[in-house]
Amino acid sequence: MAFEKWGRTQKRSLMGPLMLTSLVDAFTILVIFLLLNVSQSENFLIQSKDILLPMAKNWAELERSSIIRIEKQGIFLGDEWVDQNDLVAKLVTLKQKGLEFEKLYGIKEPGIIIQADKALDYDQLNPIIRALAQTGFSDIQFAVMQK
Amino acid sequence: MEGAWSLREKKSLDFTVDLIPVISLLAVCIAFLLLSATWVHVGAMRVKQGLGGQPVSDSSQAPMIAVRWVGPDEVRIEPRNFTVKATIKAFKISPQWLVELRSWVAQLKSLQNNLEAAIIEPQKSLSYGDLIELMDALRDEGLSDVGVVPL
Repeated sequence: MAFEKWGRTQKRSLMGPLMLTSLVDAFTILVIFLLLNVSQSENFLIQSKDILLPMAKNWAELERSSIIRIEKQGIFLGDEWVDQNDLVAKLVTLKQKGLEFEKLYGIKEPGIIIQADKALDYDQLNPIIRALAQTGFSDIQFAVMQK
Repeated sequence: MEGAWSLREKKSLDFTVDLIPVISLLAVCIAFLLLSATWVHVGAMRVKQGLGGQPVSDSSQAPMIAVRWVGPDEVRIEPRNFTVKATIKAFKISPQWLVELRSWVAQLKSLQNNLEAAIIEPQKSLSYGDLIELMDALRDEGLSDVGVVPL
């Protein structure tokens, strides 16, 4: 009888106590890191599965500006599909808006962003470069992936 | 008997915070942020283009090099506005041509210290990736003003 009693009292519970406080700390650090990562990312570029950006070592920070995207479907100015023949007219309007904005707030547009696939021929890029030169856009930001 | 009742009613001052909902909330946050996070960082290769509207007298006479495609497999480097004598050099496109170009640009830079500009006159079939690679190589050699000529 006494032996049985001893055995019962010595049996340990299989449920160990979990220290949840350190887990919460680790989770909080992760959330803060990911929030900072999201806030600093240049997520204003429209991601497309058809566009694989070229890589470059000498890159600069991408500044928020108007985006020209070249896809299989054609040229997009922002979200809007643009006919190649209307590109100059659209860019003239965009330039005028940029100049008005500069007059009002004194902030110059950092340079139009070009987002294109690395396999694209210069022949397809050329009308855009020419249209930008015609409409007075001297600063261009070619979107690249950081090497 | 009365004393026993009062002892039973007294609540403990120590309390435990239920951490399970906090953990659940944080786990959902982490899952959402991991899915929406951008892992590939996008940068910009900045180019300052000449607009061609200004008269020749106003345009800068700073030394520069022109990287011109003269054939499907041939590129020519032309020094312009150099104060010292520099020759035109042609390169055949090969897997190693960018290395050769870089060493040639480094030589030109040692001849003309204030060389900082380059213009690229590409051919139609040049890929955008190769164009960026060329610009990157020129920037590596200290040419900060790189422009592209429309065809």
